[in-house]
Amino acid sequence: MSAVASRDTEFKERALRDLLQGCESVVIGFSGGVDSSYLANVALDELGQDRVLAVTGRSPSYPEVQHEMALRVARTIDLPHLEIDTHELDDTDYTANAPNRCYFCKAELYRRLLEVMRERGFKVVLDGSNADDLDDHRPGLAAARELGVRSPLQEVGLTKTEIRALSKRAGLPTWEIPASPCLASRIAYGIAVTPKRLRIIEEAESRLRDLHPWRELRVRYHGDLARLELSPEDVESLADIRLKERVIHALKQAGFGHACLDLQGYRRGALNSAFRREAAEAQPGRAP
Amino acid sequence: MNRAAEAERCLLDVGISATVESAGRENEVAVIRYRNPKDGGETLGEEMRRISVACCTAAGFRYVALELY
Repeated sequence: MSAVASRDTEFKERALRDLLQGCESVVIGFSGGVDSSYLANVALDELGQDRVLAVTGRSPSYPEVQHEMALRVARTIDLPHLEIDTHELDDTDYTANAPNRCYFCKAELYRRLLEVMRERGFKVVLDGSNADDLDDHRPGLAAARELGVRSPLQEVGLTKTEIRALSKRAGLPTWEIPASPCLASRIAYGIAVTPKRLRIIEEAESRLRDLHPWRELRVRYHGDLARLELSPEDVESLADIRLKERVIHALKQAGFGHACLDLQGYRRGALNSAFRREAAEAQPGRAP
Repeated sequence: MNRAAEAERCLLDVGISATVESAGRENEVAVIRYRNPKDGGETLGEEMRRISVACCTAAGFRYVALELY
């Protein structure tokens, strides 16, 4: 990953600043991740504290480790910050955990952000989707478009790598943190999302993070079976029998009856890649 | 032949003795247990992983994993 902003990246950031000026005042969906932290920082630069409000939607699917980062970023850059509860777990379309689950979660979040926008007299709601997200299976983007939520990073074409480089230059603590999507993304499609399952996943990941400085870590939920995804470099670290035993203990303590280590290692959107492959195979007219 | 047996057969053909169990809601996960204890750390080596993944995905599994417990 290059952490140096190129000339092309500079143009994109300039375009982002112009876009934000045109928004006048903004509510930003703020998770404390790389993208929304960078967006909030630039918005603050351009619009000032009275015209920016970062809003974090909290629910059992939002990891506590991410919440702590959101609070840290808000403190670091003196960002006006509001926390609200979201209730996607009350929506059976969401808990059914079909491949379009994210649509229902994002629709719930964006509706609440729009309420905040109207109540407090802001003009626009923004989210932190970036240009790379267009290449992944992201039903949440459809919810954003339907509800009039804008994605400035995507609009100006900023990629994750570029956002990291610009974040580093801006001194943001998020510039090198791993991606941390919602906990429901760990549950295999078709298995219902419940608060209890989300707690088990969060506890397992939290216990594992205490054991070793993993580059990437996901505990995928397949019912009673945990499938541990680590970065390829970290997979081999489990050849250390003592570390392996501690990992096993952590997963048992979290509540999993069985566990396995994925031999391909962490892949971004691993559950989605299987979904995309099967969707492609089902396309009419596709050669057998 | 079912997926697990097919994966076991493929592994055996390249000299790896292992049991493979199907797991997950749609039996989408191949859970491998290598029979040779001397494999120990070697089972996590790149070549062993590559062959295991190739055999199990060819048999129709979406995910290929080493049993932890």
